[in-house]
Amino acid sequence: MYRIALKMLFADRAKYIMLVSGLTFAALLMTQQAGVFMGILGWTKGNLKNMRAPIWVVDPKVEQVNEVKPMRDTDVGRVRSVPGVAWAVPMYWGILQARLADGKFKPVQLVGLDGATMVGRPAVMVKGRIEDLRLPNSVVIDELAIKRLSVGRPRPIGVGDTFEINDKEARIVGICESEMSFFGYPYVFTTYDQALGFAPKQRKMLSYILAHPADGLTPAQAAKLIRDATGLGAYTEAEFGKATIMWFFKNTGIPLSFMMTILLGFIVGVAVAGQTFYSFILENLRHFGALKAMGASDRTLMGMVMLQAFAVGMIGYGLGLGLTCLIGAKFLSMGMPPFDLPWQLPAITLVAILFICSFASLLGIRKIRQLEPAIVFRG
Amino acid sequence: MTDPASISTPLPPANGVAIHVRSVTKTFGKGESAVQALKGVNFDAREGEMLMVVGPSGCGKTTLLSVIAGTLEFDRGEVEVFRHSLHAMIKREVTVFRGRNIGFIFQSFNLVPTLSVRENVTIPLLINGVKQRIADERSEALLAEVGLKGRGDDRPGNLSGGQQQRVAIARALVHEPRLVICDEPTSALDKDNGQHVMELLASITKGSGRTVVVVTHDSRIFKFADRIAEMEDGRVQRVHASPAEIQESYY
Repeated sequence: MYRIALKMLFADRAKYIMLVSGLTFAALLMTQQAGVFMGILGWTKGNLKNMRAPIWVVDPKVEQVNEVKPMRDTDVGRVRSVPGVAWAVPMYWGILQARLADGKFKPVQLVGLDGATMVGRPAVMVKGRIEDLRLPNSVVIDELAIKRLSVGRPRPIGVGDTFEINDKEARIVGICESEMSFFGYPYVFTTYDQALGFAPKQRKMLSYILAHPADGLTPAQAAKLIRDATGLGAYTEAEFGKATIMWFFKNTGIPLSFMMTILLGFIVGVAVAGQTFYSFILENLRHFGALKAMGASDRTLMGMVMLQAFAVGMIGYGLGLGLTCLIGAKFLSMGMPPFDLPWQLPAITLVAILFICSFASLLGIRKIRQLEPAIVFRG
Repeated sequence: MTDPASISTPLPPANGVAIHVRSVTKTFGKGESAVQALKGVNFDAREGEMLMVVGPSGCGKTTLLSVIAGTLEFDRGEVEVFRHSLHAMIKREVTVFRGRNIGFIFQSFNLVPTLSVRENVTIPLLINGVKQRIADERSEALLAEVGLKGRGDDRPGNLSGGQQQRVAIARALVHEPRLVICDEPTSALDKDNGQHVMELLASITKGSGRTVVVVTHDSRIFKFADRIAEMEDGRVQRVHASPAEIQESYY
């Protein structure tokens, strides 16, 4: 009987296509938009991913990694003196204007690493050596910077070329890989001391202090010791990431906007699938009545209806997820918009689609349970 | 899986009565809008006979047919089909009993248009748990018997009305039921097709021991009946022993 149920479904082309399209659209909208949202959340933690450190020390008023309230250089010494801290180094981070060959400007994220240890260095160097940052006016740029800073040049910018940051010449000594950040600007790495030379002068210039716990302590324990001893803000990498995401939830309309779109996808799925499936059941009610008269039990008929609903659900889900992956792959190859597809997203979408299918099949089951088989004798 | 030949419920020793209906009442609706469709119907159908139920529109023929088929619950009275009391069974038992022992031929055929002719015919076997392969073979054999050999892959919509009703006959008989219920089987057909369909039904069921109950308005097919029950105002008023008897009273 289940084979019969599937044939009844697939043979009604118009309804079948409408159902699959509705569920595909719902699955696509929910997963793809959630994927872009996850990508944005990932971008908000760009600094954490690119300058990896177990403990981040910041001004106590700082709430997330993308805001900087500079500290005094002497704070590095205060952190180093906290028992439980193995080492602590200064880091500069700021958004500056880079001047292109054609005279236009592009914003870049300048990162000043501790010159002695290079803590916070990029994970992967594509060309050159990070140690060459110790040469005067030298910088390492990421691959995005090649695209952005090559405007007006006969060939892409590369190692050995120069450009200006805040009217000061910067010489490229290396190319690195980096994760995109929320601002979407390229990263330019240099040493802390040289960064202070590139950046406009302020009374306080120290953006972050990167620290490591002493042996026997977890980053969380060491961070607490730092907070207690210095009054500065101190976070583990995970805590700072979580605080950053929470800040975006509380202070921007971005999550709400995405959630509305995802909810819209769900509602469209429920409406289209529910309405179309119900109309499919109504159109076939007479046939279900005939099956009931011929001895098909309510249980068999319910099984048939559920199979029909879940079959279109799974096909729609598969197509929606496939399209999401294709679009996501294209986004990732272009570098934007952001996209991330952790396994939880397809799983949550699957649950949502199963809910939609359950809802649609319940509408049909209710109708079929109420159906008197004697309906088939009424002309 | 089930062998189609062994689907039907084993019968108690035959006493010649296939359907036994006593004092059956059925009312639709409540209060002032209530309509009493059956007002204490009494009648019997014998094993192996073709019994036609005739009467004017609204006299309760279809309601009686639904009650006998176990597709409609009645208010009071007794209905026994092959000595199984429908009124004593729970709904699920009635459904199983119906699936095993009753074949249906509907006025508007009720073939599923999105299924092939063969798939339509296999339905009663599949409901009874017969394997797909066996059901297909049995359906092909029945289709050949009703003159539709080689049309198994067609959709019902590609067949004429007479051919569709023949498919419905094949579907009604494929699981070898003891009772075949026909609701106005010729009303959607022209005179010739109606005659052919009834000839076919009679030839297949005659001598098979099956009881056939036909509700009809069509006096042209009375000649196929062994007996004719005449209904009026919710009751069986007369049972004519021969078609000739009722032909006389009708004309």
